Amino acid sequence: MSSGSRPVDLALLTVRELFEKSGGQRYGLTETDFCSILEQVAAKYVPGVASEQRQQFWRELKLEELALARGCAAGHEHAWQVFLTRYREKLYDIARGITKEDSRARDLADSIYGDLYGTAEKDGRRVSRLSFYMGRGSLEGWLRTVLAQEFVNRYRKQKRLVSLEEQAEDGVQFSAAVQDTSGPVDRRLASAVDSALEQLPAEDRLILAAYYLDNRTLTEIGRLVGVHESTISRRLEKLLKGLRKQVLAGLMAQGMNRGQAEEALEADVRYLQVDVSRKLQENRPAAFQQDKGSD
Amino acid sequence: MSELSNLLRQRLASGPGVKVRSDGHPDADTLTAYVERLLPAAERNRVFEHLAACSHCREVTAMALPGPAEEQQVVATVPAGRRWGFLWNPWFRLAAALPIVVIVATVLFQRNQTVENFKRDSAAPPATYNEKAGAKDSSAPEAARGESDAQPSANGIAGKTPSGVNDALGNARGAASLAAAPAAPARNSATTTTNEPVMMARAGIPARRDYVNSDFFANNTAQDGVPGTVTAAVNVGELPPAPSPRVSNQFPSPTLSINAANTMPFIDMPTQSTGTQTVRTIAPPSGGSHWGIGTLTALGPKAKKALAKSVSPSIPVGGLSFSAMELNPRTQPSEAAAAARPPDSGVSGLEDAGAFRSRARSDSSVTAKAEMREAISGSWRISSGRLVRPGEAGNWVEACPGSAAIEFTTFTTHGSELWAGGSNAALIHSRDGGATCKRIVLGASATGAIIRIEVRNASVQVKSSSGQSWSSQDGGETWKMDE
Repeated sequence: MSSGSRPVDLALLTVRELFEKSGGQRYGLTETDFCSILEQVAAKYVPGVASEQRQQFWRELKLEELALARGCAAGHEHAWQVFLTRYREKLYDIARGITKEDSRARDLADSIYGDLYGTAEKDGRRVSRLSFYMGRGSLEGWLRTVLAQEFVNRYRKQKRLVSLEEQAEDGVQFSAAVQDTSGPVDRRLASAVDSALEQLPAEDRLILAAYYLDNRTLTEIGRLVGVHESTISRRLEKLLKGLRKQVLAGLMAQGMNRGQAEEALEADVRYLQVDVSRKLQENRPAAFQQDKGSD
Repeated sequence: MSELSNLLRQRLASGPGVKVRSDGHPDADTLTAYVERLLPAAERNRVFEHLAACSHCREVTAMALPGPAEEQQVVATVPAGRRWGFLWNPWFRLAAALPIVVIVATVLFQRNQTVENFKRDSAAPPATYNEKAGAKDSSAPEAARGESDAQPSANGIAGKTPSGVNDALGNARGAASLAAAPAAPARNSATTTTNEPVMMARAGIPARRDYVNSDFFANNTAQDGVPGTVTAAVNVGELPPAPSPRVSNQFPSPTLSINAANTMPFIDMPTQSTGTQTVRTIAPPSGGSHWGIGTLTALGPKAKKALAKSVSPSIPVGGLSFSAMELNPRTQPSEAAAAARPPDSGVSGLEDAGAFRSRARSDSSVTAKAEMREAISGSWRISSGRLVRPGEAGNWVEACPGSAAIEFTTFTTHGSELWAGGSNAALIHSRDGGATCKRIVLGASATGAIIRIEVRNASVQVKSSSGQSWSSQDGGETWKMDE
């Protein structure tokens, strides 16, 4: 565990209080270690903020779980005992919930256990994945997210490796090569739709993407956004109405009259060259551009 | 709208799909905090932006969502200040306060209306009654009004409108000020007060607790045999002995002429609002020898005792009892049954102040229950053992005139058919609405008072207070005792 120097503006009393609250001493952490961890977390998520804000940010962390994770990462035996007692079964349960299959779940959980213990070495030291836990959410939630990330990555890797014969054996029917459908393209319609999508709030775009791109159910989208499914239903309906209005307005702004605009909107969508997924991706903020896959 | 849905879906399906981007993804901590709703609004919005564009993170986030049971635990981990933060939203507080303000305003408005009604009523000049033709004096219109009001006929009840309810409220609550104006009219109390609980119940207004029932006397002119009205004021706080017979000082009894057949003493005591209890009289329906006191609601034992000492008349056997108590669930049946007939002999009843309560207690529960039932059923009612109904002329018509020896306890009607039972296993049957009755003998071994009569077509079953059950399958011609 690194023992970085304590910054001048760090309130000693606050750190001491937080350290006691975290119970880090039980996991072999010292106050200096803990202070260093806090500084690391603050530097990542709230860089350059005032001391009071940083202290407030620290208070909102899951301090006890952060200390436990860092204790485990440092190889403290008692910390591992506590971790295994608390999370061993949960880890398998979460994996089972993700994979929907027992053997794959055990496989997934075991691989994560390896990462958590730290099989890889860096500069002669074992690197545990738990050292990337920052305490913003619960440790259990973090483990769930890590498992989900691992599962998605594995799935995508394996998907690429499946042979065509194997898929054919599984009964997969392959579509014919996609024809160039760039027929009578009305670029005005495309730009009107793009413009309407760009003007949507981020949450609405997430709902649209989850509904149209991922084909998620209203319940799943509701859980993803954190609202009830009936709210999602209403919002989707409202979104479509608003989008239609905006597209019509956009078309009329480009010189169409209303009849023409409605006719264009009702045109065969096969001829429409609007890449909604690309448009949604283009709106991606630069907020996470700097997070170079820290975990 | 479907064309837009198809448009979006079609383009998404034919598009290149969503690429997994290796850079710029929110880390597991951020996604976890997002799932657990721990992110500040600005950061949450940034996650929204990313998720809208990144199918990989959408996939991960969807998988990282806890199950429904676990989700509840996650929600529970959200700091209370954040979960309930909306309570401190000024708009939320304003919206929450609005219905409260409306309710309070409505209550205040109704109360003001009630007070105004009462003031209007209490401002009316006292009136004397001139009911008998050629009787003395005066205030003919007022007397006429009082007379008509004094008859608690079925028409009077049916004719009540919602405004009548307000009037009733005003009259009843305003009775407090009658203490200040002792000679104030007993005139306008009869119908309104008598019907008030019924109307309140019909109007959905709960029975009030501040109405105090007590006994009362009437007949301050014993020598004339003409009953009068008495108003007694009692300080509720101290409950001193009520003014004993100020009767002759307060009422122009020599000039007062009231038809005994249409007058009933009545006590109405609003207590909580004014601290004063007022006794009013109303004109009831009854025969000349049939006086009673209506009971409205419960009276506290202390106040009841004090009142009983001070103003209660002696109540001889019999008397007209009202079942208004039924509308107040807190009222005891015995109190409801407490009715009294003023003594035919005059005001000497004042010395027997406790008679009312004694009478109330001595009334059997059978009688009280019967009275409760009759309040629900039609116009027939049992009053002190007599089966009566309001007549068209505003008087009480007694059923089965020849059965005076029977003290009725229960009855049941079906159209013009009337079955009534009473003491000593007495049972009568009338097919013409009580005009003519047939006395039915159940059997030599029948004992107790009839407490229940059930009629189904030709099958009649009666039960007595002694536990016997008699039934007839031929419409009451022959009876046999059930095992």
